[in-house]
Amino acid sequence: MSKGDSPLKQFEIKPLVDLELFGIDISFTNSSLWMVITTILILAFFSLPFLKSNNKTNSIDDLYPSRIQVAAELGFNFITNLIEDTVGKEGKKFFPLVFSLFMFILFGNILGMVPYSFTFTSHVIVTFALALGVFIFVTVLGFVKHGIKFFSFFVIPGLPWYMLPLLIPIEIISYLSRPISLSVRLFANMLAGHTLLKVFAGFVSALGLLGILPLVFIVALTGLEILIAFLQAYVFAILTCLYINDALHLH
Amino acid sequence: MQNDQKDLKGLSFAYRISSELIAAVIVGVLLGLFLDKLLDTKPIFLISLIILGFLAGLLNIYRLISRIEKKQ
Repeated sequence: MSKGDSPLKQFEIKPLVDLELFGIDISFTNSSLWMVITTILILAFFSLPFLKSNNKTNSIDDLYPSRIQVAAELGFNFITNLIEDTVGKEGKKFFPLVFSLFMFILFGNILGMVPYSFTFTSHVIVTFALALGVFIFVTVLGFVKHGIKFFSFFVIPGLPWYMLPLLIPIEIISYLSRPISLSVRLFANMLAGHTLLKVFAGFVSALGLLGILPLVFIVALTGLEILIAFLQAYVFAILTCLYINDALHLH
Repeated sequence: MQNDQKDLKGLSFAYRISSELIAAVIVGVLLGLFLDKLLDTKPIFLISLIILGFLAGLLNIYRLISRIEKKQ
């Protein structure tokens, strides 16, 4: 491995267009570029199936959904079932939030698997911003729904009073740990997976003929990484649902 | 499909249990450092909040597991 090819080089942020607003650096970086690409791809994925139905030909083909439409509907159904399982009927109105979070993270993770691309979910600031958004939304939702009674969330019912001074701080820490655990899990998985891929890729050329062994390992690891890419988006979505559920029904 | 979903759930629980424990301790450390700086009581809050954070992590894991058991 030569000096310039550190396995961590793939996570470098490079400003593409330098911008500054009130002394704050808001440059358009490669990270932002890939977020824009992700958003455009999601929009294309969900609008392309419906472009076809606009031209009025009455061929039999129009009765069957196209493949991309089936895929898009699969994603819709997946999240709808997820919300119904965890929150119930009243969770329907939170579908847009959960669905866009899931799709943004899923497409970001999967696009990160494309060679020469950039995985923006491997930066803790991106995932933390997403998690903090969920956290603030859920807290505001709890206060809007229950008002001041929301504080009873931190009190476990049926507990003797002398346990409260110990358990209320524990409950508050447990509540504050939500955005951290959400963001750290997603970012750490993406960071570790991509670094591991790069490290083993370095072994391939270094070992010469024996390099076939790490190469086989990389192939298997790539499959695992794609599974993890999906799984982490799923975990983020299911936890958002659970937090909404907690805010709607205290205990 | 049903079986697939079950596998996914099991794996997602495994990831959650590990991160839940770490996150609560991180919150305890950050909160402890902040309170110590605010009240100038190094290291009382740091120590007590690390312990409380660890307990909070255990509580989180306990809740997660009891939720699985309720479902079964």
